[in-house]
Amino acid sequence: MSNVETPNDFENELRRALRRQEPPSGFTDRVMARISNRRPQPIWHRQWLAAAAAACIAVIGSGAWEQHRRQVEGERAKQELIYALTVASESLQTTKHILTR
Amino acid sequence: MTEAAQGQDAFTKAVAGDRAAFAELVRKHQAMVFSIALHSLRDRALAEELAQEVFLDFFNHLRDLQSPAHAEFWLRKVTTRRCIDYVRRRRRQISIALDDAPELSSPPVDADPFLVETLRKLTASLPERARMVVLLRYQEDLAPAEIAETMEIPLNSVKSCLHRALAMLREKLERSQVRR
Amino acid sequence: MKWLFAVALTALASGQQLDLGLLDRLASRAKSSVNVTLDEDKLKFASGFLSGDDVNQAAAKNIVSGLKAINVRVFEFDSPGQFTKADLDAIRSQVKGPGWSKMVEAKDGDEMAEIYMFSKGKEVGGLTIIASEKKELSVVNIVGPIDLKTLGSLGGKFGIPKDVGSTLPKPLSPPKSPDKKDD
Repeated sequence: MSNVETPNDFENELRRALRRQEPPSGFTDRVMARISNRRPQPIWHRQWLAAAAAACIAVIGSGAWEQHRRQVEGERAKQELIYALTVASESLQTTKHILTR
Repeated sequence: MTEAAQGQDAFTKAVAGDRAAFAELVRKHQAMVFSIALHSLRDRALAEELAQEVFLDFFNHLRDLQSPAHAEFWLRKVTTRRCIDYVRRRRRQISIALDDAPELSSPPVDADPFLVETLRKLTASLPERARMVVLLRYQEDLAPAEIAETMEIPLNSVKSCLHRALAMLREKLERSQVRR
Repeated sequence: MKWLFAVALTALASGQQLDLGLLDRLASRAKSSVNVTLDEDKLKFASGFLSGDDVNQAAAKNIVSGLKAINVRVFEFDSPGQFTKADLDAIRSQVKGPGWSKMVEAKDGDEMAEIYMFSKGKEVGGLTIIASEKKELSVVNIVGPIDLKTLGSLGGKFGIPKDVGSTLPKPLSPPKSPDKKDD
């Protein structure tokens, strides 16, 4: 591992780590295609809609539905829990960040 | 034609509606926009999506911009703001842990790949404002006054935020080196 | 300055649950707001879906075991000045009772953070964090024994930011069976 000793070394390593990267090839073409077609929905929203539609189509019968419903509610509860812990943890981090000199 | 003259030419034509000239502006600035998003969000697909949205916005606001330099400032400011907003608004979803995240790219041949990836992860773990200040300073090489203008926060806040962020990164890096 | 919570706090005691509903009036002024209320049953239910194979989810599972409740409010505003000292005092007054003590108060520019701990003697039973900047306010109340060192180290590990304003996917409605009449 590089020996990052002086402040300049550290900042230079940071510059190297954070230097600009080109987007995946074809990026400009995709932007221009969107400008021509005016695609409305961001990718995460489309993925969620596709997943929700697939989930609805795949469920057959009330037993399978109940199991599926419990799974969905469980995942939702898990997301809420992870969100709550993330907010708490980040608030602690922010406090430490303010205190650090 | 000099590079500056070429840039002015492309800008003028793009404002006038020339799509090919606009595509040239996209190619010129895509690395900047994409990289701010990538280092903020640590997700290539999301970074590309956000970058595309920034350029769609750019297309719609081109006539409001005065010059190539103004365009670059606008792109950087909007990307920064969108990244901060996106990080705050993103739909709650389980995401892979940072430790499991794939490498963002092939590391430069002359650098320690572990150090490069560790610094990227540590930067992404900073609170969102500090993260953006570090990116604008060390990716974009902006001076603190320029960072203050881009993020619309006081200059003193930028300076103290940068100082604390570097101290935190150093401390975390030392701890990660001890663990190896 | 060393981090004040370098030593994990492990003793068991029941903590005080705060009424964060007093802040809900801020939602009408907020650009976006998030309300998460997890009682003991819901914590156990959710914890059952955390993966023991994932290091960070396993850590979260560990943190959560033994907790009685986690309540979170996060508000994001369009402009500064949308919440006042009086709004925060509605929470602060609840952490002035017996057992509560202020551990940390940190302020820098427009960023502020306060951490309060509930304890009986040396045993820790709860935590309240109030964090704010110009256009954002977060309040977290955790009831039960909490390991602060592990909690603090979770930050960023899930790749989930302090998300404001987005909604969880809505529960799916049961599909209509083509062979049955509607109830």
